[in-house]
Amino acid sequence: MQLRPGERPAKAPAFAALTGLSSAMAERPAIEALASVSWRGFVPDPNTTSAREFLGTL
Amino acid sequence: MIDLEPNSAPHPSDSRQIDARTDSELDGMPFGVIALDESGVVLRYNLYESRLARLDKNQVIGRNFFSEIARCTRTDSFEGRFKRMLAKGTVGSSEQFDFVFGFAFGEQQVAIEMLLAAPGKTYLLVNRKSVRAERTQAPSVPLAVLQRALAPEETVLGVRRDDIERRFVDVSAPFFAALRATCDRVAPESWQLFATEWGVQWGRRAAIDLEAWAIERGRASLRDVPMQELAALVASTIGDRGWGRPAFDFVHANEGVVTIVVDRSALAEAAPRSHSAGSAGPPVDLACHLLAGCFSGLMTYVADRRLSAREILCRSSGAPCCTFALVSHERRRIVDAAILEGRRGVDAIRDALRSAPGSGDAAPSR
Repeated sequence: MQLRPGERPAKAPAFAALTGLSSAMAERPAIEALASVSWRGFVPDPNTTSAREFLGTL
Repeated sequence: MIDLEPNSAPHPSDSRQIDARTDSELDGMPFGVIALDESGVVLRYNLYESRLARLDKNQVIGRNFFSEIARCTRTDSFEGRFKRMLAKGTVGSSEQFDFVFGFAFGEQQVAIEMLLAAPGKTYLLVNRKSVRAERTQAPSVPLAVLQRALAPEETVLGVRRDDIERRFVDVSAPFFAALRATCDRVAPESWQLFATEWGVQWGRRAAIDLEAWAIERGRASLRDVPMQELAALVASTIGDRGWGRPAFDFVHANEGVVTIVVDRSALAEAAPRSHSAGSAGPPVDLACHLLAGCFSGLMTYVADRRLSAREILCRSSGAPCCTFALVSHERRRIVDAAILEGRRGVDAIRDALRSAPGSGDAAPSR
């Protein structure tokens, strides 16, 4: 699925629920969430991602 | 394999719930807990409060909080409020207020919740809002007591403390070898369970210690620290104490596993060299269950969800270093099964996780 920066796909809340994102994170545009939180191929940056969010992707 | 207890804390305003908690449970809470009797004598004092006040609970319990421990609280806004709450005697009542604790080593801006949990039994729940190395209050304000004033001359009694007044015991490797040998004699199949649970309990307390570290450095919470910084913090916390220095590898995080490598684990080097299990039960060639449990307890606290660390390779069995796999609690059984099947190493564990039902494109089981 190709998204432009700032674009929020309809399934963003479902992704947030699956990956255990915080509610604040879930409200961010999905493209940002995908860039910083991973599962199956999406790599979070451990230098900028909080420990809680990073470990939430395991 | 052992299951971790849920990582939960009572809601601070539920006084009956907090009074029912054990001392061990209070020690797992990321805020200070102090219980006082009707005269202000300290009945209970948890780990977080001990850490940030730099006072040993063994010297604090039994002393008067207002006159002997925190003389800065002898004000109408604190001690006066305490006395009025007792006089009113409404069990379950609570009050919240801000206060500044004046320590010789700096000030701490705190939010206090004062609860009358039972007749004559008051709880102080102390949430640190900020910690400063300097003081802004007038010098005439009496300061909280220092540990060395509570227990002078304790060095000659065989008590050692670090620079933040935590008591420590200098333990050599033979101590752990003796512990393992004892367990092998009296309950040989319980070693893994015992060591893992011990490690989990250690990890929970280490997390509280690091939470205090975070608040002292202006962080809202340990959980907000970037992952890489947390990894460095854990490495120094464990490595500087001689356990061996853990190195975190996040390369496979996108597959749901973080690996932790300890080159020179003290536990592995103290353990008997690998020998045949010869019986049912977990393999005996993994020696670092204590560290695995510690990683589990610590990371479960930070993640605020259950994570499990398993040792997959151990120096005691000839591997060049000890390697741990940190995965979600739900997927720990995949790792356990791979270990029991002799499928060790990072690549083998990754293969096991990939091929497990629910892996691939599916979302993780949570």
